[in-house]
Amino acid sequence: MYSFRDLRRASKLNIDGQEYRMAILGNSATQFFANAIKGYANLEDINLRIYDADYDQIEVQLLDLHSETYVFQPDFILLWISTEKMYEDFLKYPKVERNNFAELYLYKIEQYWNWINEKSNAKILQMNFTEVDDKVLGQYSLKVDTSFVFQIRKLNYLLQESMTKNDTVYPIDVFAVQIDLGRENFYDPVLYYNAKMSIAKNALPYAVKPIIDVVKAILGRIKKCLILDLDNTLWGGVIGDDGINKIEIGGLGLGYVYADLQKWLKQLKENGVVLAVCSKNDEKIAKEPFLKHDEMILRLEDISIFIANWNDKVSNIKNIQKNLNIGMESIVFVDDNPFERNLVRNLIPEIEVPELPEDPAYYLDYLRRCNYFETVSPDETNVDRTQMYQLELERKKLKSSFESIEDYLIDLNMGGIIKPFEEERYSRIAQLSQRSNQFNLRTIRYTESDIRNIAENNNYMAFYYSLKDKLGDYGVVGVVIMKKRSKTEVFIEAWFMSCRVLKRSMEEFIMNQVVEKVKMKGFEKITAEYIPTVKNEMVKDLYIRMGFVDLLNGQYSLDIDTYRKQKTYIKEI
Amino acid sequence: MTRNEIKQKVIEICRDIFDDADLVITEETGASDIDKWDSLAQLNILGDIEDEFNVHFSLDETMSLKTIGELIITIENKII
Repeated sequence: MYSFRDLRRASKLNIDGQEYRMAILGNSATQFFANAIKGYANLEDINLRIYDADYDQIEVQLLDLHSETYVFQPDFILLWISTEKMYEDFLKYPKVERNNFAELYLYKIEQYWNWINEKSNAKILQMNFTEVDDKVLGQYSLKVDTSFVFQIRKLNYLLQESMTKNDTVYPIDVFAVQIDLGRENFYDPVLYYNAKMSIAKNALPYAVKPIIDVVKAILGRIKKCLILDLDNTLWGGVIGDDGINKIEIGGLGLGYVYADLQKWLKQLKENGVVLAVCSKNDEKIAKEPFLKHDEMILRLEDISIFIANWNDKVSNIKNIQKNLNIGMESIVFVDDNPFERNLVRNLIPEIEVPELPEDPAYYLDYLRRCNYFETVSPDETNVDRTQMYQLELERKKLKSSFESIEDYLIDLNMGGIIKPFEEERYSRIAQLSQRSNQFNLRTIRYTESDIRNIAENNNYMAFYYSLKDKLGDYGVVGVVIMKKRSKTEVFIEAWFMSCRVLKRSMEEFIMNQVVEKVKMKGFEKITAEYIPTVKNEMVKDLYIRMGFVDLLNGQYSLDIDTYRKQKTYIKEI
Repeated sequence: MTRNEIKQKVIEICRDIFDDADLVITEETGASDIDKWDSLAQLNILGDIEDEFNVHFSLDETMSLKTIGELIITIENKII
């Protein structure tokens, strides 16, 4: 972990790239905290501009439409209420009324959220509450509802419950950081009494990490895949030498360590993370435990891509990445062997390679703490991903047996579905906007609440597209969001598509559908824009291919009357 | 550690915090001599010294230390 000094130095760097803005509002002094956030963002290559509001100005800043906070036009508003200062509020209540403290305090926080939502589009980053136990009643506090410890625990619970209903609010679990570090390390009384700062200087890097993690997730910088080594990583021992009966996995000794690790990996897989295997082994032998060992938690069907051979791991990883069609920076590679880790890290700098502790007993705890899998939109449709990628492999095998790509596409018997945005798809649509990098014309990232706003706004026409074929159902794979610019013109504000359906004439199908819908509503012209990024070169000429006129500088225009239907192998169903 | 070594390290810390590699600092230098030396800078200086020398300043010390000379004496007393 960085030191505060590292962060303070890093806070002076200049970072290129798109600027994001964060306003920080607290009830105690936030200067070092703001410094640490800025430094951490810089080290993660995020160009984050910060407005650090004065101490204890939350209400004034949030109520006044012309306050510095709103004039700053923040993308994020971070609300941090320190428990040390809150305790002073608590004591102002008459003792008999303290049993309602948590409800009243939560109401106040919900009001902050409402004020923000009325005046700004900022995403709210809400820190939960660290604990202070005043020990006025000792252990007995736990059964006295007017005690502070009773109320602060209730408040954390109520806050969570309330956040489930507010989709512009993103939780920051700073309380977990306090537990991890211990109160002694988290809080420095000298700093508090001297400067009213409630997080110790050396705890700040740990306290700001979750904030930057959430910002990264909102910006779409998330990990999607875990590539795993086998011997001494997923089980104890070497399968090629020890054989299936001797490797350690299951209820005994070292085996327990690996079983727990596998259980965690299984949870990740069930929440949409893709698991792949990359091992120096004979493929048949390497697969044996997954098929035949009773105590293995992970089975072969949990692994999207299984590569076991004697090639170097760098080429194997590149191969896996190519097959999954995702960015290297969204992959984590886990291997117990420091040599392999270094090799991979040196030759593929974008990939994340955790420095596993030497003792396997520490693997799980270490990996959990890395917090690689921050998300802002959980989604059950993810569960199918592993199966989808496996089908994709089948499809690739199938492809080689056809004379031409056309024959193959016809044989797939593809059916496309087009629908306006609907409630139960909001989160999947938002997620697709965050995950799509290559087929994404303007790379705007939407959150679930953005999607809801668009769906409910008459100035927008927005559709999602799903695809089925004889091998499976892909679910939602494409999204087009159009904004009405005048009575005759619509502008394509967003068009993004999952890379799983590339080269399937899906874009042609979507364009035909777009033109049809727009025409039906009486528009005459579609305008569009391509904003280049390092990843979306594949769609550079998309609009030209679709028959748009190139107006230069990434601007395109299409007269609907001149549109000629694109050839597609997908039928509307 | 000699008094001079302590002094050199303290000077390095100050130069880093004030972002000025040529900053002239003597034992008489204090908050009033350097524009950027406000209460926040003071906390940064003390914090870096705590990490560098593995010492801890009391609340009273953090509020009363006014010059580099006083700082050096306080550090000396803590590490001997």
